[in-house]
Amino acid sequence: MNGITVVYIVFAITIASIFAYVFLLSKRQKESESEIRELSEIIHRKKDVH
Amino acid sequence: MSTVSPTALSKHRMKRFHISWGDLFALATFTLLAISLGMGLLYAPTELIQGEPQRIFYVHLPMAIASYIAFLLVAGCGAIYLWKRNPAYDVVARSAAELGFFFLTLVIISGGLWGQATWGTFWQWEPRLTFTFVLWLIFVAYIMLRHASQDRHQAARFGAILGIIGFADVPLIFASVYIWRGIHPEPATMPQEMFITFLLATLAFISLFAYLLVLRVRWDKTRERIDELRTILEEQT
Amino acid sequence: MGSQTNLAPRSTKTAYLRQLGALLWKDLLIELRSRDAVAAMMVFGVLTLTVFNFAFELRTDSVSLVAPGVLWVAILFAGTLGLGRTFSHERERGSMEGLLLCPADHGTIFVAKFIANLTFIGAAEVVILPIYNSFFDVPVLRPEVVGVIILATIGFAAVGTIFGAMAVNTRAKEVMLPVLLLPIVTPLIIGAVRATGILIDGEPLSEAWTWIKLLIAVDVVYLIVSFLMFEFALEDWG
Repeated sequence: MNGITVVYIVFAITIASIFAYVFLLSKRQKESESEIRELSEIIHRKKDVH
Repeated sequence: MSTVSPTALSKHRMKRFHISWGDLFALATFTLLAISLGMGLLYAPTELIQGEPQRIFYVHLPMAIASYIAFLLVAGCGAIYLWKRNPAYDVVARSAAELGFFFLTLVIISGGLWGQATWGTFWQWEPRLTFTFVLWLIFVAYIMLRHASQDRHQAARFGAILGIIGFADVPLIFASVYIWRGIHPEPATMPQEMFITFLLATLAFISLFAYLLVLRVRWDKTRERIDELRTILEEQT
Repeated sequence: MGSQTNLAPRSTKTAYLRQLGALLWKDLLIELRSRDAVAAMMVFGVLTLTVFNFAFELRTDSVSLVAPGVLWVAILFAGTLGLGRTFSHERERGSMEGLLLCPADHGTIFVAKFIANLTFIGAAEVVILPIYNSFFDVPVLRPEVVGVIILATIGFAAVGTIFGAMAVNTRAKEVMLPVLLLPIVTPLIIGAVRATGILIDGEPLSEAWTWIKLLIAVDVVYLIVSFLMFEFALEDWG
């Protein structure tokens, strides 16, 4: 394996992993936030009914 | 639908150009990361003995340092949690553990590929890799222990205990692994360009760690809010 | 909740020893009657040695190189098994809840459990060592070697006690204990194998001194930290 190639590979893996993790966290955060909105709406509606 | 007042509209328009501190920090972090990677590839001189593969050092060691900070947080926040019983500390502890595991995995992969290029083998039981691997196993044990716990309180408590015991163990692991291989880590003398690159890279990765930690903690808190809402919902029905 | 539910007036030294003795005697007596954990450890230890004997038969010249490692793998696996069993019995019997209500200091419970576990693993080693000696023709029954083995077992029993108490209350019970124990006792394994190896090769004690110092440091750290953390492991027992 060429010397500099392995450096590119490692840097690429590192950057890819970081972005994958950030992407994963953002996705989970968005899902959770929408779930909160849903739940808040349900609770709000239930309060109105009472 | 509430009516939108003119003043509210103008405030909204101003907000569009207002970047939050968080976004600024994220921007700074990724810029720093990009710069240090660029410097690692281009600015830093090629090492005489190993050649190009040595450049992996500029991500390998900074990420290791980030994971050591993670370990410190796991143990420290765990200890404070046991003392004060404030759940916020446990949130930081478990988030730091996940990040520590993430970074340490990359440390092992980068170290292995570095070894592949330099020695021809991905793995060697030399002190640095062995030490890193044992630490990695402790992170794995931490995550497994929390998953196997019966409830949140037990998970927090047990995690804290393992974190503290693990932390106390680290100098012993270090000593045993290095004496075993008869290698003493000597302070390396580096040309200035290398040192600057390394310093910048370390700063970048610590900054990245902090950024990811905040994201992870925020998500954890969001999840707790969901649980709160669910309990309210159950109480209502 | 407060950690020390010490309703009794501050114990004097003899009262403490009496408490400790009572707790310790209880554990030893129960084990003496059932002989469950110790027997399992002995059998498992000898079986491990047997398997290793087959595993290395083809390359007899390598036996002397791996000999100390084989011994410690057998002791560690047998010990881990035994530690798991003593606490699972405790949990099944439900005696720990009663123990936590009485005015005994939680630290005393740790010391009693630790000494009991140390005794059980030691008893298993009494059987494993002579068999190892014969199987591999390795002089382990010398005082220096036995001393090193005792030293390492002390540290192992210390963290084993607290991790055992924790693991038994999790959902993964049997699996959890080795996952917790083995990475943590890495310095202990390295120190024990190295020191044992040096001594059975006939080298003088001074050669193994670095490793013995390491083992002593390991024991001290493990004992102190396990002792301090034990009360948190006992919280919400069950």
